[in-house]
Amino acid sequence: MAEKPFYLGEFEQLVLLAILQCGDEAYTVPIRELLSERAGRQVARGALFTSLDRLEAKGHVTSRMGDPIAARGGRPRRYFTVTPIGLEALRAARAAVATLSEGLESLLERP
Amino acid sequence: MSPTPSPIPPASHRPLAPPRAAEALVRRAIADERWRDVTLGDLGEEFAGRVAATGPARARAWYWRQAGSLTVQALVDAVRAPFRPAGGPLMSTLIRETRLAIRALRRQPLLTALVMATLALGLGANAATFGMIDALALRPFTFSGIDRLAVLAENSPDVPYQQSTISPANFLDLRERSGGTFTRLAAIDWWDVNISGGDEPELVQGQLVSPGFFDILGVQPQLGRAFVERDEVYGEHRRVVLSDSLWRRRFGADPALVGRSIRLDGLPYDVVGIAPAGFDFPNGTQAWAPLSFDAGERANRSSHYLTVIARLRDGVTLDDAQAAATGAYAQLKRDHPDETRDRALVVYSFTRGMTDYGLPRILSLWQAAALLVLVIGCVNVANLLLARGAERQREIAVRLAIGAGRGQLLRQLLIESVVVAVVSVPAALGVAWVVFRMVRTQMPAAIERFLPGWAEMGVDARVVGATFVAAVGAAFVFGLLPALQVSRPALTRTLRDGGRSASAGVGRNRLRRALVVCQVALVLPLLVMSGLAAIGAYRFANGDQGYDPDGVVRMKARLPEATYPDTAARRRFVSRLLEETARLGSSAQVATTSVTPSSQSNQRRDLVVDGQVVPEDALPRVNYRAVSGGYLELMRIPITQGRGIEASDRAETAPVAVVSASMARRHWPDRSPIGARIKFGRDATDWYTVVGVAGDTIDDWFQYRREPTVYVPVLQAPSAQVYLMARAAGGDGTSLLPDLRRAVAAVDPDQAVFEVSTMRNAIYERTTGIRFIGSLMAGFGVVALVLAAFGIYGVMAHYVVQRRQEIGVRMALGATRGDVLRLTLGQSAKLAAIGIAIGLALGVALARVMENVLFGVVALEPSLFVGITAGLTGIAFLASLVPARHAARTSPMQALRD
Repeated sequence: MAEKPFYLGEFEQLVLLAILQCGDEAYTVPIRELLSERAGRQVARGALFTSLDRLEAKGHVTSRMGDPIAARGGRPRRYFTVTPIGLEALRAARAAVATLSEGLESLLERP
Repeated sequence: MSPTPSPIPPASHRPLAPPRAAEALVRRAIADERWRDVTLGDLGEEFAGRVAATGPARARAWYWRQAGSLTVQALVDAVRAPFRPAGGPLMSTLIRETRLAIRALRRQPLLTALVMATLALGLGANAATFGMIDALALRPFTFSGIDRLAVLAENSPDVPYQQSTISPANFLDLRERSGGTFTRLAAIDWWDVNISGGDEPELVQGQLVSPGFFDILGVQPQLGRAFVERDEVYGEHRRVVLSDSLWRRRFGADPALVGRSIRLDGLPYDVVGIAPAGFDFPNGTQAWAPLSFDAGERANRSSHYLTVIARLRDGVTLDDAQAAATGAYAQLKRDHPDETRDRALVVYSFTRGMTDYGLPRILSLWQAAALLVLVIGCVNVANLLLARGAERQREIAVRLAIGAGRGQLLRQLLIESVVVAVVSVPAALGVAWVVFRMVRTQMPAAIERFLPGWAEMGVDARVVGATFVAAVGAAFVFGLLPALQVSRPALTRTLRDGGRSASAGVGRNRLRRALVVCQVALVLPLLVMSGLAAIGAYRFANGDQGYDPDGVVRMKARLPEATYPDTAARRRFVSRLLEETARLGSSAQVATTSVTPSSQSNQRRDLVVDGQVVPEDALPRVNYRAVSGGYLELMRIPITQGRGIEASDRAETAPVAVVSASMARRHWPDRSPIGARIKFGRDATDWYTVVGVAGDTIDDWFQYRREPTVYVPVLQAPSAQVYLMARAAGGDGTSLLPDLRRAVAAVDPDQAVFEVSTMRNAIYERTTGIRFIGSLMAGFGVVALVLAAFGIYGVMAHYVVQRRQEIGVRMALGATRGDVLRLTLGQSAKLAAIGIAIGLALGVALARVMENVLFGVVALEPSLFVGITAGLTGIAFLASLVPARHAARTSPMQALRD
């Protein structure tokens, strides 16, 4: 892999976290809702799709198509799962933040 | 009981589905199909939620906003993609745009097919002509180190270029003095030779060559050896190298043949080697013997008949060689001023020197015609693309509106053009392949061997490469104008008018009309070219030859020097032959001549007219024929003054001659030639008295048309070359051939006969070149005409569609159908007239060029121009008739309502 395996962009971290939060129901609609409601990110569909494609290409997530659903006009949902690689990348990113944050608690934490 | 109604309606009957049009928009906006269904599904799901939460109206509005933003996002992405650094910017952009282009082309299969067919024809014509030029003119020879080979010629300024122009003594001097420039020099002389012994005697094409010949060409015999220095010593020269094909065909590939002796022209020759397979230079040679000069020939400086080839020393350029040659020739000029007067020694590259002088010009003519076809095709394609541009106007306006640069759009449109051109290449190569096949089957073997490189002609890597280059070039020709026009940022108008207005297309329509004018203007010269070539070809083959070829047959015998060493022996042969044929007792007329019209060879003599003084070494030359009594009558060449050659003109009677009308005019412009005395060559002793004047003949359409010709009695001047001629009382004369063969065999069973054919056939073979040019050019003409008709139709049809409303208004205001028909036809007549006017000017210029290129074979013919103009006008009329009638049928109500 040409890119650094564990490097994750900030938005990618958020997407991975959102997928983990959604559990078994991690398909595009709730992922986008979570990003909007909990992270305050109004994400364009296209941007989310591009990011998901990239994460999948890097092996951080896998996806599968669900069954056709009548409420969606007979179209399936696309479910995402974070892979061990993705999880490792998230941990590494978090660790980096934690390491660099040491001693700055007074600055960074809200009173 | 809580009466909370379910906010989401049952999915089974979906009373509220998302707006279909918006869904379609979304479908278009998402290029990635893996996401397309997911997105539509997501939107559907969320839509259902919103219907429940906010009501259907708001939900629909929301859906539309989503669709709109997705569309905008998709367009922005498409436009910005090239500038994203990720993933190899330029290449990936090009690949992506190429994919886009392919998709765009697949959306319009009919249009794409039309464009591809047009391009396949145009590019195919070019591929075929390029293949011919490449094989026949650019690299007809495949010898190793061909760029180190040169050809020498002693040219006189009044002859553009001739191969065999070096005299023996000059060759020997040059060979001695040019060691610093050339590693070796070799001279080549024609040598048709009879092979006898074993099977039927046959005549094979041979060449006499200097010892260095094979070395210079870098060719080693597969068996035995090449020639060495002592082989050219006179008396030691009866040695021969045979071609592989002759060795296999006649001697069963017997390796023991080398070292044995075979009989050539009745004399024993030692076979010293067998040339490698495939080697038959020059001109399909089957046997090579050493070129050897006796003492007299060694001193001969005035007969210029040798072709000289040479290999340059390393580091010596052609220019160096030319300088050295000029220096060496200056010495010769000082030593022998008379024989070298008005001549210069010229060093040519091998390819230039060994290919036919006229061939490159004829080939360039074809290439020019093929390019014209391609350009006309391009104009058509440009028109089609303009029409499509109109349909894409809104797409392009949207892209411009959201910030696409014009350059970017131009690039995308050009890439589409390149893609369609490139995918047409395989079909074009197919067209070229078919042309090559037709060309091959048309060309008689007798002529093929004079076209070096013919065998290599075909669709090869170079042709493929050139076709790809031509395709990309063509793409720019036909793609640029429409792309410039279509990408012109006339946004607001297009968006506002919604395509109903015709005004947005004013510039485009002007361009399309200009293209039609252009097309007509280009087709006309092409038709002139085709017409001239076709007329020339027809006239050559079927026009007046100055004699009557129908019912005449001929066969040729070449009397070998060994068997027929002197005039007495040759005279005996002819006399006995005439006796034998007379014994056949048929009603056919029989005669002999040394040269027939439309044969491969010619005889020329220096003419001395008694009492007329001409400068030394500037003797006029005339065609010379030694004929038996009755030849002129047999050929039906009219005698206009005096008498013809008669059977009573024998060895022991006074020498007489009959001259052709053109010769009489040239040498006796103000008196009758009857009674004048002539001889052939300054040193000749026999004077011939002119007793008659005969009509002119066409011996060769390219060189010898109505050329001054003299006929002398064969019994007074027996020739080594004898054509036996016969005219049948009825039919084409072929039934006479077995008897004629028997007569020759009765005189000399070892004597081979060849060139056995009817005169008609001889003319056909002799005119193969021009007929070939004619049919190829006619093919180009037809293709171009079809393309032009198609172009005119397309533009007029578009014109009618565009002006529907105007026509509707006119009709509502009282215009009749006739008026509308006149209006529409008038429009196309105007375009055709402008095009024809320009085309006529171009056509006349082109006809003049062709007159030069084809050596005066074609002439500017007013009737042709009239015919072509009428034809083109007619085709323009027909092509616009359908759209015009369509316009006239317009219902005013319907047109105005639309």
